[in-house]
Amino acid sequence: MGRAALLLVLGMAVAFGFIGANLRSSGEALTGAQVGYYKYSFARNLSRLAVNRHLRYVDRGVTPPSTANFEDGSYAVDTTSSGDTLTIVATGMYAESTYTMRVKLLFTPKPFPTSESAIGMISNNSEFNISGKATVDGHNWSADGSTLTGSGDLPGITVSNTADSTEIVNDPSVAPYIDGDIKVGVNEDAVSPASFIPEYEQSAHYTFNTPGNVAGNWVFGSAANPAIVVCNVGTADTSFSIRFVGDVVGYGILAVNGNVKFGGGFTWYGLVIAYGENNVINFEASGNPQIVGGVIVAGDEVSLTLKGTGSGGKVKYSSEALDNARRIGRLLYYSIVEWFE
Amino acid sequence: MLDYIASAMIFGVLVLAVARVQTNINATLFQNTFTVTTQQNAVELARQIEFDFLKIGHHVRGQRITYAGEQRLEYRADETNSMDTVVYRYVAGTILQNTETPNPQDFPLFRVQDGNVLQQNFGLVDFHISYFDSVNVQIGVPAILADTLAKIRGIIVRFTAASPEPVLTPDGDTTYSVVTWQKLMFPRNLNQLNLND
Repeated sequence: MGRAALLLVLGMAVAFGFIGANLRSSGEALTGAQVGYYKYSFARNLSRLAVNRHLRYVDRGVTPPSTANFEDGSYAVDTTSSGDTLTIVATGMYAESTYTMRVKLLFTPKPFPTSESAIGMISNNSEFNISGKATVDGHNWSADGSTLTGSGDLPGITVSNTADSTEIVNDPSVAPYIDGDIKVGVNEDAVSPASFIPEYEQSAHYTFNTPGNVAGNWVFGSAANPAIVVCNVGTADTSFSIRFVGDVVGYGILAVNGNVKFGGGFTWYGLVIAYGENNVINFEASGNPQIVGGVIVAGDEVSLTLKGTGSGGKVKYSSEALDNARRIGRLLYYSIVEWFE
Repeated sequence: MLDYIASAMIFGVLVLAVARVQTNINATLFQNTFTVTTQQNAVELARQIEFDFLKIGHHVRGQRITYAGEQRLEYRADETNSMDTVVYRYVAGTILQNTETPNPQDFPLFRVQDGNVLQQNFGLVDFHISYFDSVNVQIGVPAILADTLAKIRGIIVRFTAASPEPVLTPDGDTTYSVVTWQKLMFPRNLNQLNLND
């Protein structure tokens, strides 16, 4: 009887053990299905993170990392660039799951203000003065302003109405210093750059909000990584709002709200915009300021005075310099050519 | 003699107890098994839908989605990344097309790839697709006009998968184990430039 009871108990223990093991294995299978999907999803999220993070680095003009760790997972990025096309292969890894995205993107510049001339004055009341050795040239120069490209020439200056155009052309103290396919043109359809300014202010690499001198040797951006510089000092100071007096070299877009004076060794490759209600741009007599690209002055009343010593303060139109300015990383957006995942 | 009678009674009680436990364990095992099956079906279908739908329009020049309905989606894609675009179609079937399971509500899902029809029995009892444009405004279904279909940027898929067999609940009733899955997907190629090669 005692042995029978013992065998019965042992048999029941084996039976319950077997049933318990079955229950446990089905529970593990259930967990496995859920966790497997979680790992797969997490690896995919890491891959997507890799693409987005890489592009944010490109926006900032900083070299992106090729690998990174995140929350116990990691990703690896491999890129190839050809012209305006960027191909990204991003692989997210989490536990034993991997997920790969192959993305081909086209960098596309956002709309960009143009004046269709070396200097565009967008106003119903434009005043233009020139003296010394300053010149305005609408011929199309190379990006560094050293050589003529031989095509794509534009007017030296465009204004918003025929009266201003006639006045400038007939002014013997001004007209001889203007060159281009024509000296002065009328561009009634010129669009004020005002609508572009908020984005430039938001995306600016350098901002000057205090009136005064910008002295010393400044380098804003480079030909490969042009920058946005915004000087928003208002128009309260009628003598001058901001004044560049040092050896300033800049590439990209310089947007100024209010009056601005360029002196010293100021050289800008790209676009200079003066916006606001009343703007006065003044190339000072001392120094050798130069702008290679284009200038847009817009407002209710605008005034542009060019002076210069030495080889002269000059504004040279350059489609190449303007094209470089269009390609500021923060002003590019990415269009999808292919996305495979 | 009394020992024999007492031991027989104890044995009987023990057998009845074991039988009851066995019944409960069987019910739990069934429940677990069907829950696992349902979960695995749901995960498998979810991964399949993500795999397919995220590739909509890949390497396609021109119209990518050709029909967008609540229970039907037709599109073109190169899912193998081999420059070979193929027409795909997802269509939810009817309950009359799935009589193999005791569940009276489940219906099959048909995945058609380049004319080859694959009937998939995931135990679906609900399958809905909705479509959204670039500003997340829902697009009416069915959409068949090319201009309307070209606006699709986001796709929400919602489905409910049920177990093929009923499972016993603790209170003795029977029910079906179900899993509901929903996801908003942005197939990136719906927003591509549509460049010519």
